[in-house]
Amino acid sequence: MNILVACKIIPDDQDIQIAGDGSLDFSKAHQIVSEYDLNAIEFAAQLGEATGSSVKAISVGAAAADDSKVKKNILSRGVDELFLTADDAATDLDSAATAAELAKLANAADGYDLIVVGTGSADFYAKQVGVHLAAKLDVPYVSGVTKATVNGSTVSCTRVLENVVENVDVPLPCVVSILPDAALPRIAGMKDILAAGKKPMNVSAAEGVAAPAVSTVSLAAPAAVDRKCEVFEDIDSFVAAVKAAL
Amino acid sequence: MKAFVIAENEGAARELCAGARTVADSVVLCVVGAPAITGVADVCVHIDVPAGNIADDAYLSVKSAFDAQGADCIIAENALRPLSLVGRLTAALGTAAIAGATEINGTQASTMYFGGAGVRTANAEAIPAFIVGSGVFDGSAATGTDTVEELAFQAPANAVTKQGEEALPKADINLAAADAIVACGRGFSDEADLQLARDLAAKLGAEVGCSRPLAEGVDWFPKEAYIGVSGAVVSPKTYVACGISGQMQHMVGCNGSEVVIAVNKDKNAPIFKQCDYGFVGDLKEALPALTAAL
Amino acid sequence: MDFQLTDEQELLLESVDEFCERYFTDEVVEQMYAEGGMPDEIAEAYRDAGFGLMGIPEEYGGVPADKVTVGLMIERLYQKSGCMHILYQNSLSMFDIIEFGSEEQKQQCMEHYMETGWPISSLAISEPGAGSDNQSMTAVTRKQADGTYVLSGQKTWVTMGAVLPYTIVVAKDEDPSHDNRNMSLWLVKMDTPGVSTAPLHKIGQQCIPFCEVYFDDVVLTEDQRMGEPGKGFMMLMKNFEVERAYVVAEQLGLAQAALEDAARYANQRIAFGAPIAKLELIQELLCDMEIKVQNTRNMLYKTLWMLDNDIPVQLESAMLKRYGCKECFEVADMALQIYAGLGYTTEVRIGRLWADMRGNMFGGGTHEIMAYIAGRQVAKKYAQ
Repeated sequence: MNILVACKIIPDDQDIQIAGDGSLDFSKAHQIVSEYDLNAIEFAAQLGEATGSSVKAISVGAAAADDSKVKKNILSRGVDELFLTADDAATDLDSAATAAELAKLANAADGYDLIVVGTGSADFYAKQVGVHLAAKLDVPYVSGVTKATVNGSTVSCTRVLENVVENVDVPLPCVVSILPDAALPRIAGMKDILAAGKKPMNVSAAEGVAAPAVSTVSLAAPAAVDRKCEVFEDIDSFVAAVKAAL
Repeated sequence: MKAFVIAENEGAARELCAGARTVADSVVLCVVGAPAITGVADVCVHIDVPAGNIADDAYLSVKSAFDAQGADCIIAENALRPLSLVGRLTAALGTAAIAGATEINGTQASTMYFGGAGVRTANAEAIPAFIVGSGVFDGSAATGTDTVEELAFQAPANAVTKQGEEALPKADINLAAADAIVACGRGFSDEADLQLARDLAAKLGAEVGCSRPLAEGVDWFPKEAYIGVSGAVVSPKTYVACGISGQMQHMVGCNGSEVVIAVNKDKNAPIFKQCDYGFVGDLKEALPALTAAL
Repeated sequence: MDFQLTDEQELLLESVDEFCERYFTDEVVEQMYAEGGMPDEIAEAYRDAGFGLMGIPEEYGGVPADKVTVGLMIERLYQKSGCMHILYQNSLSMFDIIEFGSEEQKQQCMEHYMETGWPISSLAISEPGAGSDNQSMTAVTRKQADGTYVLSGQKTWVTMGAVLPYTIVVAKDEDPSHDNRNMSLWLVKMDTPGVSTAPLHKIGQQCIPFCEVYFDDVVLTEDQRMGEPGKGFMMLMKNFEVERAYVVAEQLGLAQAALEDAARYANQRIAFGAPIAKLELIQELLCDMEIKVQNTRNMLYKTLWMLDNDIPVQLESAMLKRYGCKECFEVADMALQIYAGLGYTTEVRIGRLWADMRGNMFGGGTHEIMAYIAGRQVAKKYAQ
């Protein structure tokens, strides 16, 4: 079986600087794997181990995503091969365009039976790429997945929705979006890290990126909320201040 | 303009339809796999889902409803099934949704970027579609008719089969309507200590909410109680943050509060730069003292 | 000269960060100091991440790693966990067994580690009357008529001695007198009749239980001997140099944590209407702390690099131990000075670090003995 996992390479938000004019400066930011996508990678890796399947990662991002450390990071987490489109033409893609690029990679990765995606990316947190990818590939999609077992031509999933837990059988091939709780990312050891550099990394430029359906008009730091910031270490003064305020 | 709202919960349907009225002349509500909701839109298109199917697979029916209604704008609830449906619908329409919209202005919307590190204004080049969380629009303003149009569920070729389901305990939490909220964070190391927060909430007439780790890391709270960028966005008169460090991802969920009160044992916690009144110290000291005094 | 870390080293350090963040939570660290140990869960996770296998040959399930990388790992491990625990030392007795043990002892050692996350044995070297002056040790084995040996003597400062199932004992062969230089290493099971322990109540390093071990006519067999007869101490000494570097890596990580705490505190502690970091005397402390940390780091990395390149480090390792452990302790001491009374409690990290780090000024060799080792060589180096 071929398992794919989609992940997003993004600037580390810890490194985002706010310039004097309120604009966001990403120039000093390291590239990292979006947090919840680490859970997706782990989920795919565990499923790969349970079913004896290959696990390949697919990703699309700006040219900066082609970062040797972040690529090894992905490959040190139980992933066998990486397919990455890294191109500034693929910057700031909306969910549909991202899914279109991922679909190309899914086809390039020698077929797929199951594609795992994380719940949402740290930058947009739109939770839409998985379903767009399913639509693009014309395959079933389920979200909120916490458990998955492959039985022949279907995958049985437990999905935790807002008010109900559903047990569903999803025909393969399909796309499943997992909840972060579904798998705790492994801590890559030295052995995994050393092995990662020797695994195949297929990096290509983007070709024929779709015109955006959604574009960014402006991006700035949020306006600060004005607060009194009266901080006490003495409980009586604190209680008195709160009492006076309410 | 005609808005097409996809929602499954009554509270969300109410808020989203009220919001849709502010940008569109007429509002169609599409409810899939849940009881029809009336009185909030001009028409409710209701799609019943057979027991062996999942609501997410109603996308062909939703697309035909959208086409039949001739809507030109989409607003969807931030819940997993509506997210699937809006994803399939926008994919079919050759567009994509703007998620986490906190303000809608024509084809544009303001959204959180990197969990609140930035505010991004995005523009829809094609049919605008927005995903809106709870607390953005005022549900009490919703108006509508009793008209319900039933639409049959049309299964896709490779449909998902539902083998069974189990209802989760209904969370008795209504953060959006609360005047006061006591929110608990990782500073609680023992679940039993949450009683201290509940006691204070009882005194204040407040709801009890939490930050993400207490709803996702440990299951001390239902997901509905979770306040933050991917949970509820609230704006009560009084917000008491207990043992919450004040990460941006949480604070964007409560920045609209009138008064923010914080208790944290770490004096370096970012919350102390974002609160009106803060106490550096033990929750077990501060909460009973507040409960006794107020 | 290239100070740039490789991708692999950076990823390793990120893994260490994740490990510390996940396992050394405030609650766990508090519990470790209160209960005097470390949860099994952490030892197991450390094994699973393969950190404890770094430097052990691949044929025994280890992971190839140069000493610079191991040192970087140890430094970060202690910086981010912010407490002096046992983890890096767990590998030391394994290094000894893998280097000097019989095939059977090696297999047994690795199986035990993979099963439990704990090393199979502690190291029993020091005696109340013999530390670095190993010649004065009196523990002795005597061969019996039936071919077995009888061990008698007392060891002290045995890290984890009462917890781990075995201990490696160094004892003189046949004759305990000062002039006998023949010593052997023995792998002794702690539940052998005649072995007993008594806990030591230290003023710091509470997370690492130490004890005295008494050997009262303990019967040993030849197959318990590790390595060549009579060469025991020489064998252990072989690893002393790299061990000195690793203890400095630990001390350096903790000093970095102390420095970060103190600098943060100085920025927010208000006295006379301004943060104390604005006071020049505090700035001088911070500056000197940073110098000490950076100097130790440079010396550490260079010494490890020399070890990796088979350049003798007899002088460098002794200088590093003397300089690094003391200067890093002084960083903790200055950090405590910045905190003043507020830090002088076991509730606050700096108070615990200060007490823990004091021990590394003699653990692994006092800095006086390091001066003795290094001084002779400096004299020789410049002799006309």
